[in-house]
Amino acid sequence: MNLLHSSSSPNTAKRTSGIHEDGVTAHKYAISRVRPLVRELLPPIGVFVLICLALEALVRGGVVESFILPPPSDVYRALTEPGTDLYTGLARTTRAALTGFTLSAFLGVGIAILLSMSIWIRRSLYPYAVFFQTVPIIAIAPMLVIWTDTQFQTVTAAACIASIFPVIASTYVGLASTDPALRDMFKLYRAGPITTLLKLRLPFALPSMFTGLRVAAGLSVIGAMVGEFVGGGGLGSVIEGARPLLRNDKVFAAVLLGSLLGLVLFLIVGIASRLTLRHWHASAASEN
Amino acid sequence: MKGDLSHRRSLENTALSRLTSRVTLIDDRPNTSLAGLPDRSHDRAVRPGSEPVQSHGCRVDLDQVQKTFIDARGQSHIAVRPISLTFDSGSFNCIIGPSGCGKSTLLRIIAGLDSPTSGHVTLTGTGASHESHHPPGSAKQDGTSPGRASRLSYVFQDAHLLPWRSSIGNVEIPLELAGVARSERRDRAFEALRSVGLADAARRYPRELSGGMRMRVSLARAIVNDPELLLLDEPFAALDEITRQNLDESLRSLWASRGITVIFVTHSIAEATYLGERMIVLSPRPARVVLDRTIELPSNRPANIRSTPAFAHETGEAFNALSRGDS
Repeated sequence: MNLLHSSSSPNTAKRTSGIHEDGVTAHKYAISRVRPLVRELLPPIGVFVLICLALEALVRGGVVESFILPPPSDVYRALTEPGTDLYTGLARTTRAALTGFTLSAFLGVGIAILLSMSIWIRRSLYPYAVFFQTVPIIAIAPMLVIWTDTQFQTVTAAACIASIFPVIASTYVGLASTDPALRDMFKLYRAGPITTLLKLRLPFALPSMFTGLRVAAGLSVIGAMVGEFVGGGGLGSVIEGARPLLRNDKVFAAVLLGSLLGLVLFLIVGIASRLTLRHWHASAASEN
Repeated sequence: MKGDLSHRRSLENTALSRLTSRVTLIDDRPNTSLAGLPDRSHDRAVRPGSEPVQSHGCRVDLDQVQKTFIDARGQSHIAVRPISLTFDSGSFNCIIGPSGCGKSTLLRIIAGLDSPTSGHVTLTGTGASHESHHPPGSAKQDGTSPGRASRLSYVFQDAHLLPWRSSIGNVEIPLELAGVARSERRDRAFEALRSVGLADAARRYPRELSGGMRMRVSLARAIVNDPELLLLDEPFAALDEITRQNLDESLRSLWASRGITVIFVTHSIAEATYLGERMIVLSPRPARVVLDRTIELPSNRPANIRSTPAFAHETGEAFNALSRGDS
C-alpha cells in the first residue's frame, strides 16, 4: 500500500544528485496514475470486507456477545439511522480538525524556521517544542476549556496542539539538512538569509516537511476528538452520549467515521505532496 | 528500461555533436552581444585550441597562504603549508594531489568560502576589480570583508542542482541572485545551456537527465554570470570515463572561447594533463608544491592526444612527482 507509506525522507532530495538510471521509467509510471490507484485501493477494501464478515460471523455464531462487540450490521444500522446526530458531529469534527491542522501547519513551519535561524534560539526553544509532543492532550483539555471562549476554539486548539510537533520536527530537520554545497553556492553569489531561505532552504525542506504534515493530518483528528470529549460537540460528544446508553454500535460508528476522516486528510496531504514533489527524485514521485 | 537508456545515450551524443559544431553556431550569430553583456563576440569566435585573443580572466595571487584546523581535542593540524602561487589571467591550471591533501581547502580559500589562517589571496580582475581575502581579524582588512569575489564561480564534485527547477531554471540562479531582469536572464541562461550543448534539455528537470547531462547543467550555471575565475573541485570524478572525457573537452573549449582563468582540482593525472596548460602537484597533507610545470602539449587537443608519446611523457612527470611527494 504505497499510498500510505511515508517515503520522503529528508535525504530524498539529496539523492537526486547521484546518477539514477530509471528516472525516465518512473516518470512514465507517474503519468498513468489511474490503474495503480485501483491496484492500491482494492486490497485494503477487500481486507475491510473480510474483517466485517468475520466479526459478523463471530457475533452471530454466539462466540462473542453483541454488547461486547457490536456486529457490523448493527454499526451499519447506526450509521443509516434516520435523524442521527453522527453526521452533524462529523461535520463539526471535520471543521475543527481542518482548522487545527491548518494552524499547526503554518505555526509549525514558522517555529521550525525560527529554530533554524540560530543555534542559540534552537537550544533555548526546542525543549518547549518537544513539550507539544509529550503533553497528554487529555490532561490539558480541561485547561483549554477555561482558556478559550467557544467550544470550537477549544477543540481547534486541542487539534493544533496534538498535531504541531511532527510539523516542527520534520520541517526543522529539512531546513537543517540543506545541501552544504548549495549553501556555499548561494553564499558565493551573495544571497541574503531571506533569499536563501525562500529560494533554497524551504524548497529543500519540502519532502521532509510533507512527511510531518501527513502524520499531523491524522493526529489533528485525534486531537479534535479528545478535545470534544471534554469540551463537547462533534464526534467526541456523540461517543460520550452513546456510552451511558450502552449504544456500542453507535460508538463504533463514530469511531469508524473519525478514522475515515483521518484517513481522508492523510490521503489529501499525500496527494498534495505528490503534486508538489513531482519534479523531485523518482522515488518521491512514485511512492508518495 | 533499455530503450530509455539508449535514448539517453543518443541524447548525450547529440549534445556532443552539437558541441563540436558549437563554434560555427556562434559564428553564425549576428555580431551583436546580448542585452547587458559586454561585447566579447570577437574572443568568443576563437576556435577552441588556439590562444584566446583577449583574456577575460582575473589574476590570482596566493601570498604565503596557510590553513590550520583545530580539532575537537584542541590539537591543531596543518592542512596547507604556507603556499605562494600566481595564476595568470586567462590560464588553465590543474592542481593535482592525493585525496585529503588539502587541495579542496586551497580552492575554498581562493573562493573565499574558507579564510586562510595566515597569508592572503588577491584576485585582480580585468575590469579593474581588486578583491582580497585575508585571515579574519588581520590588519590588512581595509574595510572590504573577505569573500566578495564578484565574478567567480565554483563547480562542486556533484552537479548539485535544485530538483524543483528545470535545467534553465537552475542555470538562471546566479543571475536571479544578482538581480538580473527575468527576460535577460532567460536569454543568457539559454545561451549558457547552448554552449554546453544542452539547448534541447532546457525545460527538463534534473531527475530526467543523466549524470553527465546534470554536470553540463552545472557547468552552464557556473559560466552564465560570465565569471573571470572558474574554480572546479573534482567536478567529473563521479562520472564514467567516456562521459568524463566528453566533459573535459567541453570545458577546454569553454575556456578557449571565453579566456577565463580556470583552476581545476583533480586526483586524475590523465585528466589534469589533458586539460591544463600548467600542472601543480601537491604532496600529501600538509600540502606543499612538489611540481609546478607547464604542460608541453599543443593547445589544440583532440581526444586521441591521450595516446601520443608526448602525453605519456607529461603524465609520467606528474606521476613521478606524486610518488616523490608520497615518500
